[in-house]
Formats: sequence, structure tokens, C-alpha cells
Amino acid sequence: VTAIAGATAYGLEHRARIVRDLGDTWIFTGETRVGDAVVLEVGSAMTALRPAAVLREAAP
Amino acid sequence: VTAGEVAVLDPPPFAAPLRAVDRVEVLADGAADGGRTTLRAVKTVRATDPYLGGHFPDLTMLPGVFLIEGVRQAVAAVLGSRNGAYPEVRELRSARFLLPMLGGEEITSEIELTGTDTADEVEAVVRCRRGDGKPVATLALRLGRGAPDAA
Repeated sequence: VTAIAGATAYGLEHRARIVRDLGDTWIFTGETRVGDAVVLEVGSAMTALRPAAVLREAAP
Repeated sequence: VTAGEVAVLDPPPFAAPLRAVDRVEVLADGAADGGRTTLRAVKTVRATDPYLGGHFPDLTMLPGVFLIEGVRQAVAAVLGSRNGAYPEVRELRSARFLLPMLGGEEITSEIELTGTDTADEVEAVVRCRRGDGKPVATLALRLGRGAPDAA
């Protein structure tokens, strides 16, 4: 993550690319930019969709 | 760094009012062992925390990003600031979230730090468990002071 000296407000642009779509699970990559500067790079991330009931059942 | 309980930053000056850790303890200070230091950080998931109001309206669940922030705040409490700069996350090498962290649960993070004998950066390997001992997450990250390429 890069700080931009003197800046008090940032316009963030997120660019996400889905590299695999498994129905309820996605693998993606991407970056966040402020202007032309890349301030965050995401190598690989996976996200999954689960109903709230599944999460409640996982409680101890 | 010395073994024992450490005062948490309340509020953390870099993240007020978002406190992501309740208690921090230094378990092992291995300064003579290549700068290895082991910490334990504890956080109870509370629906009243300012960032949990909408996460979610009918199910309180700690967002994984606040587990990462909790590691950062624990490391900052232990290593302190230098020239006004606290350690911050420079790279999240991996994060696996295995079980939901629901309202009322106490999450304990065992944080193994390497590089605490050097000035700039530390590596952290983190295992997070809930009260019944089940693993909820594993993390690996790199922390450093200040933005490395700030103008």
C-alpha cells in the first residue's frame, strides 16, 4: 500500500478480474489505483457464497 | 520486548475508534533467537463494536479484515512507534478463513513474529482459534513502519 504525501482524499478505482467461476465460488485477481498509481495489488483471492443458515450451524 | 501482558492501544491512534484487539500478551521473547517473538492476542466479537452494525443486520460476524487489523494492532502495541510510525501491513501473503467468527465468541490469535531484532520489517505467522479450540483462520503477513515508497 502506498501513501500519497499531502493527499487528504483519495479517489480509489478497483479493478477486479475473475479468473475462475465455479458457480458459488470465484477466484479473482486485481488492483486498486489512485490515478495512475497502483496502491494495492491482489495476487489471488477466493470468495464463496454461503447461506446464513450454514454459518449459524457452524457455531460452537 | 519482554514477556508478559502488554497495554493495548486504546484507541489505536492510526485506527480510532476501531479497536480490533482486547488483550495482548508476549508469550516468548526470543531476541537471542533470530528475533523470534510469540504473542497471544484475544478479541471478543461484540455486536456493539462500531464496525459490526451492518455485518450483518441479523447475524453478527467478524469480518476477516478485522482479524488482520487485530494482528496489526497487537504488533503495534508490542513494538510501539518509532518517529511516530507504528508497524502497518505491507503484504498479506495468505489468509484462510475456515469458520465464521460469530457474536459472543472469543477469538485467540497466536502470532509468531520473526525479525523483531531488526529495524524495519517483521514477518507474522498467525493461527486463530475460537473458544472451543477449533481453528477459524490462518494468516501470514509482512509488517513494516510507514509507507516504504512515500514521497
